[in-house]
Amino acid sequence: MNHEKDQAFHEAAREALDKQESQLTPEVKRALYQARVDALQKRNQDKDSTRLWGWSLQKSLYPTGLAMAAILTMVLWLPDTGSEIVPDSTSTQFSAETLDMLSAEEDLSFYEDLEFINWLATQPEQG
Amino acid sequence: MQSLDQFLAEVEGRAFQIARIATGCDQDALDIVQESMISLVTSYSDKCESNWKPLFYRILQNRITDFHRRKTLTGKIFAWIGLKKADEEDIDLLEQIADPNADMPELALSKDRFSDALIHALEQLPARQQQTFLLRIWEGLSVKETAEAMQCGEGSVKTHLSRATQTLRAHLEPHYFSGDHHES
Repeated sequence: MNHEKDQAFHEAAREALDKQESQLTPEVKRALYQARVDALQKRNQDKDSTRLWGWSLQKSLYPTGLAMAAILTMVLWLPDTGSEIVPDSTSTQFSAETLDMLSAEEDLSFYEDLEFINWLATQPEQG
Repeated sequence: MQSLDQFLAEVEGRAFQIARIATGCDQDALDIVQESMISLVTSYSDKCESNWKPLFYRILQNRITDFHRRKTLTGKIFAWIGLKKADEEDIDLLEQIADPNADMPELALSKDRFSDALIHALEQLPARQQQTFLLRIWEGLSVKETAEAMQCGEGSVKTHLSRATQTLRAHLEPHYFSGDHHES
């Protein structure tokens, strides 16, 4: 019973409120229409500005990106072509000699003398 | 598929009425509706259109709550410095409090009077009850949607609605049921 009364009351309230809404003054209706148009325009403006920002960003980023890519390519590519690894005969020779010395069983003093012997061999004969 | 323009055109009248009942001022209500529209279209227009209505009313509720907070704060500041706002000078606050036992003789006269009395009675309700009643009964949101819009539990929605209905019926029913209208 109470539920039915509530429902009947709600129905009457709904009807009364609808009636009030339908009686809005032209000024209010106009203001609401304007508010709606302004809101939708604002969204379009925001979209446009986002698109413009994105476009200008792309416009400035593309050349910068291309330049960066070119520089990076040069940096990565030039060492390969410009400074090819040339075997350093002295250093490899030294390394081989050092390896020989370390692995050999002779006394280290022999190698110290060997340096002197080599030097002596290069001296022109005198007398 | 419904466009955002169509959606806003559908809800703007009701939103205005809800805001007007909550604020008691046409201009404040228009500002609140416009701010709510802008917020919806700029932040939530990409959401599924079935979410627009609860989202829009949630924004509207937040704006109304902000309005009341600002009003309360302004009132406190004016009270603190011992001043009244110019537009409140001649208003007797006691006159603004609804008397639940008072008769509303105009209610029995016509449907128009019933509408006016209903609006008046709604304005006297506590804000949460008022908004719950309008969203559930007039706007037709479900309990869940109303709870989302008001950011409260579904149980609170049912309680607010029940209390709002009781209070409004207590004010309006004698005229409503004995009057020459309704009872459909």
